[in-house]
Amino acid sequence: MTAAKYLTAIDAFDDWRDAVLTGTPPTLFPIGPGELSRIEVGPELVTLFGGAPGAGKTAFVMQAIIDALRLTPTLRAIVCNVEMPPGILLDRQLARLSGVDLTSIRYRRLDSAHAERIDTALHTLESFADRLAFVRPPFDLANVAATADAFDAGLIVLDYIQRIAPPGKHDAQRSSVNETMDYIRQFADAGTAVIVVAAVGRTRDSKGRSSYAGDGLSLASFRESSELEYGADDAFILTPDDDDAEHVTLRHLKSRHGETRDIGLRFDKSLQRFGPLDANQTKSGAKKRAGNCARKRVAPSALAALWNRTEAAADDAEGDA
Amino acid sequence: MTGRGVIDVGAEPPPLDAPKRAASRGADRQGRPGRSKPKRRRATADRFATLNAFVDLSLRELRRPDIAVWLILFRDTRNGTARTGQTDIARRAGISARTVRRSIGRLKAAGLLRIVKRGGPNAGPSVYAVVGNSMA
Repeated sequence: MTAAKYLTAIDAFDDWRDAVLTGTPPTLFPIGPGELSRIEVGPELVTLFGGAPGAGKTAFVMQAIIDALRLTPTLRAIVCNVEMPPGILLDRQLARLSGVDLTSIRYRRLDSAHAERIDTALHTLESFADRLAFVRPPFDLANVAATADAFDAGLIVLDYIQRIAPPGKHDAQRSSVNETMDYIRQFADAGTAVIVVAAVGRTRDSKGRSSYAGDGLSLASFRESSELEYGADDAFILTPDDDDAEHVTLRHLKSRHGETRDIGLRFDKSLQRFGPLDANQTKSGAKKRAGNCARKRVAPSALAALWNRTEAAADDAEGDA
Repeated sequence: MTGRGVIDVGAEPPPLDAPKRAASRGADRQGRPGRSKPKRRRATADRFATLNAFVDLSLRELRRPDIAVWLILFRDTRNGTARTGQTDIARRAGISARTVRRSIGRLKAAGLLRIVKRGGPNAGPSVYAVVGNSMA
């Protein structure tokens, strides 16, 4: 017979009350100024970012890591990016920090007009370069864990999860992703902050067409989603605005520790830079979103409604039966 | 943003519109023939200004290897920067690579040379920008 393992509320109460009354807040690593500082990244947290191909997932996450390193001088981070080598990722950051377009940097067309900006941006990157490491192949969780230990990393970035293999053999992609997320949860529980980037699948838009349109994306849109959405503390999807190429919304689909709140951003692709919307864009964006919600008769930011559209619950129910 | 400072989060500079690209794009769009001519004349004038400032104000303070290195980099400058390997500079100046490295250090210290991008074993030669007069 299995021994029962439980903790009574009265036993838990003393420790919990002390924790509440001593006022020690959870450690968080801010990933940017303004609205971006509300995104929770920290020890014991798994933060999930998704988006359609080309939406800017990697650009956003790399910006977040670089700014986290700049804002928290003791933070050390590792990046496991299966698609881009370190040089390409750094090219993008050089463009963002210098204001020199990525094309000029990529093709090394730099001249004296760029010199001062490039010099300052390089100096900025150098200032935390010893606290950032890139995981090299093989891109599997064993290597990620070993690298995190060796580098003493407080933040692990996995870009993207569907391409990072867990230990053991897995016939189905879904079971592989589920197990990867299970391991990631263990990384977080051990006190590490984890940022996970995930691909999303096409969904039916408002006209029934299969697309990556933002109004159709939900928690169920994450590819192989069941464990992803359950394992993450916060889940975001980057959705570009159909009418404005530079305007994107970081839709906050899940928040385990607070309320969800979407963040409007401006994405300058030539610099690979996300920034705040100006006042006019914020107002028109808010009006438009309100209009969209009214047209579709969807309550804004209703997490319950999104959960109802999530297919993953069915898988778990089958497993329990 | 200062020369060698660190950029604060949220204080990244605005986009730099590359003047060369903007000018050529504008010319194409408006279809003005000969638009590139004044630009070339301007670039040539800038090169002479740099050379004149170097000869008039900086030359007398420098050692011969430094002058040779500066002139080779000036000769190789295209669109404001030169990307020449130190071995190549040494061969053309008739000096050793070690002397080239020392000269580059002295020119840099004198403000007559800026290293735009540092080279390396996997990155190729460094990228330099020559300056005619450190007081300019």
